[in-house]
Amino acid sequence: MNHGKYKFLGDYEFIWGPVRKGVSESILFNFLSSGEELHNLEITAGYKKRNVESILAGKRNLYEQILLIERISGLHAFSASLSFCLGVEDFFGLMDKIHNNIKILRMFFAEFERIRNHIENLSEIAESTYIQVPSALYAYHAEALKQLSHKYLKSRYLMGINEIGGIRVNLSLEDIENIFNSARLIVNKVQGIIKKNMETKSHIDRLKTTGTIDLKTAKRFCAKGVVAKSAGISLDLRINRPYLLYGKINVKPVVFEDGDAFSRYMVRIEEIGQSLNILEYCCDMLKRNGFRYTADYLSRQKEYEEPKDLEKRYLKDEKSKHGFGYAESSEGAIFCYVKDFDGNIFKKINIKYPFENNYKLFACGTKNTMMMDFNINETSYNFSVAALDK
Amino acid sequence: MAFWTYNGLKFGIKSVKFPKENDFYDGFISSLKINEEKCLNLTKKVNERERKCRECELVCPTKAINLSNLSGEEEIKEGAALKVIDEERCIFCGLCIDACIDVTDSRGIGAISYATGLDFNIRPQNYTVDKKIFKKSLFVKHIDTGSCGACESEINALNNPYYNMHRLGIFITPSPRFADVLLATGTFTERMEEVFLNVLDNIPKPRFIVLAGSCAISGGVFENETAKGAKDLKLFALLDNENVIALPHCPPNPFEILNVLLLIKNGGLK
Repeated sequence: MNHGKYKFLGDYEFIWGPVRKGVSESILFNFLSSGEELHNLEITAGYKKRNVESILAGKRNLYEQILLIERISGLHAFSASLSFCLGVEDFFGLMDKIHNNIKILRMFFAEFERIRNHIENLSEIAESTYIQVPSALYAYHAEALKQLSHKYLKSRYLMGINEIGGIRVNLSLEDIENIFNSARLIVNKVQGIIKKNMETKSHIDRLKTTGTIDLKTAKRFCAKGVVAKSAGISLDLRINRPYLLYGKINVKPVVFEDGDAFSRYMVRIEEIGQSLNILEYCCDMLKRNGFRYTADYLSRQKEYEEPKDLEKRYLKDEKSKHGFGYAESSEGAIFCYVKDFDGNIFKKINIKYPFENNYKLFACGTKNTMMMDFNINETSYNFSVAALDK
Repeated sequence: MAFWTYNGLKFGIKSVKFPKENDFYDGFISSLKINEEKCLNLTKKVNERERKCRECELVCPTKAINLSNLSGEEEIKEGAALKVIDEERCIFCGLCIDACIDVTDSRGIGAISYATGLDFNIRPQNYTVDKKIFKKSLFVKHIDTGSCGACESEINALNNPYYNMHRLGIFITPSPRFADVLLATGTFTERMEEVFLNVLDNIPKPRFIVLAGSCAISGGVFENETAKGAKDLKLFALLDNENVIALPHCPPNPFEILNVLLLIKNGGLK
């Protein structure tokens, strides 16, 4: 590693990774420090590179591709598969044919995933500031949400739910209401903990002014998601480029100006409340639209997986055609570009996660911060190494 | 801080009683079971009129189902019957269940269904010791060899008040030198394979290796010519003399991870 111009007399280098303490993903940090202050940070990713794009090209059908995309980053499984499904639906021109109730259900699960990820991150942030009780309480409630999805959806990470043209899991309106009511109870309890936590000075003081990034730096590195919102950039695809039925609801942008760990913390807290409101809206809309069972909208496999029909329609004259889909995950936008349909699968799939921009900003934003605060910075950015490496 | 101590005490004990009782949460599933009486592969075979139904086998993305192992056609290998559903490969996508319901045209349950129970055959191949090896607490070193992050999240969940693995004397350690168990998650990427062996070298014997998740065992959904998990020939040969435990599913449930760690700790591997 060469820290070059950043190195001063008395500075020393040390590496941390790729195997780190506790349970963490493999990534290598190379620090340049004078003891207390972190002068430079170089990040080496790529230890987990699984060549997802080439493995995707070797799958047998679209559903296998969905299963793999979900497992690029398990914590963002629903948003990633949603962006892929929207991309494929765009390719086949199915966007307008999808029933509104399916769109509402997709919004419902996307917001559910956001709530779960944010609560889990609040637990990590509380742990990084060494307040164990609220950390344990947040973790307990995040676990309750996972159990809830396991009960109704047979997956703790919302895997295997999306499919092209719809939702694969059979749920009734009563199930959706039960999920919403349980989620509301959990969120109310979490908000109670947040309220008490805001009065804990040792927690809040450590978050304030830690890892501050200004608007100019955030724009230079094209910050995404929570990081961008905390630095004053209103960047939310649900508002800027509405997909599904987000255009019909009034999603207010959550923006904070300070760009520090506390702002990122506040963005997450605000988004939990916002997502709960969207869940409520989805529940109301499903009732109003006369929704009964998801099975009423299940796309029969034969309708979209008959290779001969698809080959006739798309192979001959539409080879240059492509599809594009996107979804706002808990950490920012996930884009998916699909091309080269061979009758069974897409040979070319590009999927872009927000972490590819944010990790560079993280390296820049931690310069000249305290070594002690490194853990706070890392948890407040909450980037997935799995999605970064792919 | 006293305020949080009070709140923590007020919150009370929320941990499960597991392993004293199997008090799993509502909706917990840990395996797939096949009802041979309902399976159309077998019923049609008796009549010999129609082609055998193999829908679930065809639809499985990880080739975890082998209907040739149904009763009647059972192959015997090393004294044990081969399983129809290979737990080590299954990722719980549920496609086989849907396919079976579609074929039987039953709106309810087909021949394949979800089940609970932690009765996997997890005894390492060369393991002969029947008594308890570790007398005190069990220390676990985790290594991510290319996972999606869900396995890490599940292992982290073991620290939350619901599972609270500390109450059972199981701890995550930062250093391999103090570890008894190496818990690996992920597909064993090219770069992490070397790191994994390096970490393993630093763990004193007796030691166990737990391959958590189907990615670590066989590559899971990532399986292809290059990603084969621990079934990669080079790695497989190196781990030949180790106590390797395969912990299936994608991702493995915290109860399953806890069960395996407890069996190692208490010497109950069978």
